[in-house]
Amino acid sequence: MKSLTKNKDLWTNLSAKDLEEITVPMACCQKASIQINNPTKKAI
Amino acid sequence: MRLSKYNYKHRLSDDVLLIMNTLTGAVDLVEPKVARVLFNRSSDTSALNDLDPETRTLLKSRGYLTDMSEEQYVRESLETYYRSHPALQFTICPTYKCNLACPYCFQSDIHQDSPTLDLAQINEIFQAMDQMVHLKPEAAVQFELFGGEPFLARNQSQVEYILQQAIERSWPILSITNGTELGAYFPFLQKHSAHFRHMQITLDGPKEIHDQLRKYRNNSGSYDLICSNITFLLEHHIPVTVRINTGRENVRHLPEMFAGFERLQWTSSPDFSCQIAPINDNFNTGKVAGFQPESDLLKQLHLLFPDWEATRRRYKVSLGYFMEKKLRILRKAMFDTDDDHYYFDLSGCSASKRHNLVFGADGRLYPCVETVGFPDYSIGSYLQGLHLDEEKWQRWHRDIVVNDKCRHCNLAPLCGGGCVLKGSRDGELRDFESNCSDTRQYLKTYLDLHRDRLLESYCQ
Ligand code: SF4
Ligand code: SF4
Repeated sequence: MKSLTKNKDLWTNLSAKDLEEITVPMACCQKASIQINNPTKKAI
Repeated sequence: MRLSKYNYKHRLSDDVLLIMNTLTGAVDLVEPKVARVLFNRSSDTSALNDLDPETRTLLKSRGYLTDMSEEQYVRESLETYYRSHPALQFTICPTYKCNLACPYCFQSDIHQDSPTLDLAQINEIFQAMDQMVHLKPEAAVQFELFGGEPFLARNQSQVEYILQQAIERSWPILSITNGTELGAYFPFLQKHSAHFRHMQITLDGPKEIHDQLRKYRNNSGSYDLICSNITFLLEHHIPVTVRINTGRENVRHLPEMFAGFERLQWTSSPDFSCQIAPINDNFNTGKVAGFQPESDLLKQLHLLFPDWEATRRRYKVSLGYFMEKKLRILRKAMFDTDDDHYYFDLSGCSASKRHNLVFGADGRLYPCVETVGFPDYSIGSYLQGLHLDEEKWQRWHRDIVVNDKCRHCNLAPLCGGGCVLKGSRDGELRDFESNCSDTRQYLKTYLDLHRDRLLESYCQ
């Protein structure tokens, strides 16, 4: 078995606080996806 | 210990399979014996004893075997996400009229007879928006212009008034525009450039091709004008995404287009990006000219650009929102893509989160930009006061917990539940079934295209 993603990067290892702070692209099929959800929040 | 319901497998050869857990983001290459245990149809886990303890521990640490209630985890993560990301995304369509006549446009029937907003109506819109912000003061507000074509020269006074209102409220401005008549707005754009977060402008091919597709009603083309307007925006540090709507016919012209972007020096601007998006058939008409499933587009791209990852970087290209979203785990696994592309998000499209409110040129409110001008889909009105049909709007709240079909789908955390509009049979959304597009085929195609690379990494 060979792992291609590292255990430290697994999403289920994110803390509740991490989840609150993530920024995700907000878009749809019409729009280019831009990181816009909350400018003060960071991507993980 | 149970088998996760989010396990996915793809056979690479007789001896090697790729397995992925779409909830944890784990990707691993395994021998058939391991896959057999993980994908045996019965929920009988006694077969796990056939694996050595070390493999079992590893499978557990990666989420393929689990003790947690995955349903509960998904529900709680979504709730955390909705709670901690309060947003209001307001869109105004000053008119549905457009100066171009693109053959694939989903609005082609509503362009001609459209009304155009007057100042009194615009004031009513901003009153309605202020009312909503008052009720949700913690929300991050974002403002967008859409149409028809929002930046028509003949609507300049109304449109600049709208923009001024957004600027006074310090709302970042986005716009989807065909870019042809931006010239009339240059002085305004120059003065207020810092407020423009993003402009999306479409080019559908190199000059000859674009001019056949995105043409004026008298059949003349729009390419040169759009290009010089894009250059102006970039020179004034207004971020531009060039959107390329692809269909069966124009994909092959991408190399020439990208070379053109480089010649114009757009690709060296930090404010430039480019997005490839297959034209879609969200109303399920079956009649959209040149429509091509996402998996076919992927194949063509890899044929044209054998090193697709290098092409992405060189020309700052990404794929349409859903196409990117579904590949984010696999790209991270294969190319260790940067963090922006590897985000944890179980939610669906922007319309499904109930923070999108589109103010149509016809006095109606709509939940999603693609539905504007189609009264069946309207969720309220804003003239003579804000009237929002909360119950109807609530029906747009679709995610992988709400949708029956998605609750049983092993790809759900990757997909988010698809386009709500595509899943609805009518404007009421009472009769809904998630629309999967060709998600399964799309992932399979991507993995087939990378088979050699994956097998090589297994042997290393
Ligand atoms: S839309 Fe289809 S592919 Fe996507 S999560 Fe729902 S069932 Fe799965
Ligand atoms: S429902 Fe479909 S068309 Fe509307 S915002 Fe969502 S993905 Fe886009």
